[in-house]
Amino acid sequence: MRAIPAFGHRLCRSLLLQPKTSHLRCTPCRRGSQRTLSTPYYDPQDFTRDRTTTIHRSLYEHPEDYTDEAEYPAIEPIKKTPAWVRFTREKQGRELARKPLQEKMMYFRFAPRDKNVHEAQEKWEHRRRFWKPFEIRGYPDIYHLTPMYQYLTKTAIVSDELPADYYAYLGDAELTAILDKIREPVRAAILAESEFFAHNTEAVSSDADMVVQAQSVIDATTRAIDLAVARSDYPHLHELQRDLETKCAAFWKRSGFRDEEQHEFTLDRDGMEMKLQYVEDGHVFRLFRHEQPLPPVVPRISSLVNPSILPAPVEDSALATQPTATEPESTVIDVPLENFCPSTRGFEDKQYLPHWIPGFWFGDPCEFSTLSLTVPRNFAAVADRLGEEAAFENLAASAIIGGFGRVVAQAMYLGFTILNELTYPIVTQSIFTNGRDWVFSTYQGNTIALWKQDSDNPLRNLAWITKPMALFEHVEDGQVVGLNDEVLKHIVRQYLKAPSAAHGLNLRPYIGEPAPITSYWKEEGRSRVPFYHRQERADGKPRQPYKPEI
Amino acid sequence: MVHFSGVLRTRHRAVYHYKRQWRLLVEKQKLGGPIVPQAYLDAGVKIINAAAEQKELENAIEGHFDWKPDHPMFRPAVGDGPENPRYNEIPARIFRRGTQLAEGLEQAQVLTKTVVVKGVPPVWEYAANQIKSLRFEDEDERGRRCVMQSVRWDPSDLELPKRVMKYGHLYPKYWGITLQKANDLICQNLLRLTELTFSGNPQILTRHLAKNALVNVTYEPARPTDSRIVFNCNNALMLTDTQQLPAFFTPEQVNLTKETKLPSLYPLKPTLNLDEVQVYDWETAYPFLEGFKHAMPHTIFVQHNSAEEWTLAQKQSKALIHSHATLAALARRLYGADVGVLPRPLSIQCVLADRGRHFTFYAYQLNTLDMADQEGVKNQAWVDTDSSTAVVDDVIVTTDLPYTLFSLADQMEGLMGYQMYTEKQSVQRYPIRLLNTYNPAVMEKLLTLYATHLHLGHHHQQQQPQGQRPADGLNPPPLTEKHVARRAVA
Repeated sequence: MRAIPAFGHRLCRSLLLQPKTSHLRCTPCRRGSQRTLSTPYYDPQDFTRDRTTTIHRSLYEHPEDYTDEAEYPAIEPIKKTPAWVRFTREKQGRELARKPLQEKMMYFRFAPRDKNVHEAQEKWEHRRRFWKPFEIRGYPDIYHLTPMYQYLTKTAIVSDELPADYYAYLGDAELTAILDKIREPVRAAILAESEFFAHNTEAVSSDADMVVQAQSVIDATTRAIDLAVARSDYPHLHELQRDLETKCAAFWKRSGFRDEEQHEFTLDRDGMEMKLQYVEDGHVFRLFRHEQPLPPVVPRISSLVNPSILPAPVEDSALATQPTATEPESTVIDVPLENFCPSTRGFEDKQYLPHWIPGFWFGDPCEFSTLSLTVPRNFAAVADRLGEEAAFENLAASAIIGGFGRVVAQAMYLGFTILNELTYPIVTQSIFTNGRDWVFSTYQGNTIALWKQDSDNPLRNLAWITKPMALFEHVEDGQVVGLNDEVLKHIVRQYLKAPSAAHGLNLRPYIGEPAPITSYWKEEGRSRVPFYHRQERADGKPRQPYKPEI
Repeated sequence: MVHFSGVLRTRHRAVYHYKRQWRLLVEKQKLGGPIVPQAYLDAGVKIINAAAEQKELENAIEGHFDWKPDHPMFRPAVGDGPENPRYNEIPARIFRRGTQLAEGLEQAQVLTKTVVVKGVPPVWEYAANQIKSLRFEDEDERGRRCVMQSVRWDPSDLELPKRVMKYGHLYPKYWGITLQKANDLICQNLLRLTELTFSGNPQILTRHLAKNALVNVTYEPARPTDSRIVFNCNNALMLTDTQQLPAFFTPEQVNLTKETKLPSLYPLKPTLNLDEVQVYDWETAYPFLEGFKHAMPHTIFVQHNSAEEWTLAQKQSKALIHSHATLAALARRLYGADVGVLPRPLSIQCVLADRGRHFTFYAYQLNTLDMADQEGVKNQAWVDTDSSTAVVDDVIVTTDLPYTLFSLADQMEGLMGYQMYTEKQSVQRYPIRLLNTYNPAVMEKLLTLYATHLHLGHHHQQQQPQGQRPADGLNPPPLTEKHVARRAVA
């Protein structure tokens, strides 16, 4: 048995706390009898000021400091209440509205009021570790995602048909004429690389073959339409900018989640909003963009959940002339009421900076995507694992999240943010295919302010998503059997839908119209520092600074 | 009196001693094998060494079930040896992706037995006049946007090749738009713009576009001392039609090639820089199945995406060999594997897209596949390049240059990537790279090549001068004196 020291282990056995050196110091308040190391500070004025004169500070001598009526600071709600969240969000939105894109993105990355560089750096380090939104990938192999995606994007599925009035611009005779011209090239494209489809008809066996097949059919179809239609009939075709194998990303916040232990990093602590980052890389095969938006399918007003909440429909007066083609409510699959936490479905949070990519980087004048053609590379694997039916349902879910993600991202480029609500609906179209089966979707984004409680925000987004349709049955003896004209009609209708903005509609109310590009010489557009020249990559790691060789 | 409450620590707890004893026992067994209590031995209990059993099970587990799924991860890597299904006993010299012919165009001429003529074939001159009224008013703007997309607006964030590789030094990596991606964007989007210019024309509905069209052509050695030659070419884009292209040279001009000499590479062999391999395909491969209607080649796009520096002639050799191989594979299909001089020449047009920036154009005509003999009828090609003229010491020097689609404004032209800023303050250190010049000639050439074999006058209600239009696709208008003179010089 070892003897322990009597002193040092515990200074005093009767004390529970270990006394520290600070306890031995004198009290902060110096007593008169105590000595100090330095001379205490005395205000020299104390001894020299003439106490007989007073300092005049009156209305007559300083009139600029007084007003006729008293002005009080704004009354702020009590902190950490829903009213306070609304108040601060609106205030932040007002601060944010006129800022260039770079600063808007920085705003969502850093806390707003950090003036000090070092403080911001510290906060940044902290956020890099603890600020983790849920990562939502484009086409995951998870069952029955549609209701969850509907909730996260606040989307109602209007119908399993495309809106007929919206695509009534193309007459039957004209459509038939186009189909007669494109049928042969499409057949040729199916046959040209049809070794895969010739060998097998039903089961999807190989990912790579399926993807190549689907991509070549997509390219052949859009190209055939390009060649078939007369140049003067569709002048917008050559104005479309086309992206090849591009990527999309969008960040937003969704309300309606409770504060729980597991949501420590994924919930915004102020308003209890779920942070979500949609990331799509490698699936979007072709994306077409134009300078003008597609016309709205239905007026924004008609997509209300509860019309009584909205005060007055002022903003849509320009759009009220659009044909109203609301489906009967019975077919509408509304936004589900219960919230779905992504973690319960296998989604994980990841260290992402919030970033927005609508298929291109800032600077391109064609900012409205009209049509995306997507080949999910992992379709065969998902169909293998979940079954074909679930894989097809996943396509519908992808149409929802892809459409919404693209709307949010391009709204960001247009000057809106999740704190600056859309002023007009943004419509985009998506096509999903594995080469043989095609899903068509038209998405109308009415609201991106999903951080608001549903009771405060009457708007919802709308989606029209078709059931999967087979372009052909199979290939037999070098012949395509059962080429489905309906599928071709859908492709033609969506591809040829011309963008047009309503007259007098300000597309960029927060930042103003971009100046037309007169030359590409030293014109950076609206922001001095373009955001894609940022120092960090999407995962928050720093890029290497560029050093010239010369 | 001493308080023991603070004293009773680790070594006074019973758990410590149990753990210690157990550890001692384990270590003892490790050294001397399992210690079986005497009571068990007395009772006659059968002792099984669990560790040995486990070892046996693990060794035999392959026999119980196949745990390796059919996945490339678990397949043994296929080497270049006899185990490779594409292995051949006889080695061959192969021209494949990345093969750089040191002697450039001349070497390609010898390899493909081709006579090269600098300039533009007459059909292109004719077509160039035809397309003038067709061009979009905003064509330049669209082209500029395609360029900006390929250098700037595309969001791809791929790893770029390192510019400096030095042993023992770590140089930074850059991410951005790779040369391959930029080239794809330029080629495909400019081709789309070209096709939209002609849209509505019923003649172009028969044209088919294939991507990554792979061609494989093989040649037996001419002499026993020579080696097999394989051309393995990947055409990035291949535009095909139902009908063959008209010939670019008249039969008289084809006959004239008998008297033309091919360039001499002596003392070098023409197979210089062709890799000697034993893993190759000895079958002729054409990208389309037999019986496919749209299999006649019209124009191929050959891409050059190498980050290394090649001379113009070396890039041109690539285009020449790609054109030749594509036609040769077709000729073997049409006329049989052992065809010599073709009964009817085959033609193809070629666009060489060098990193999406520099373009050169070719019109190739395959007259013969008799490659063993360097004499007799030869193949022919028009090579269309831009040129610059300079006066050096009172001598006019003309240099061939590719058509440059665009140039960028600052010094960092070579890198497709980001401009970076200082880390401390977000003030840009280098000027942002932007488009300086845009050359509409490239788009004009693409339109011209696309218009070959199209009869535009009738469809677009254009008045065309009589006598210029070819009566038949097979008989292009005769060469002018200028062309003959050029050819003679070449």
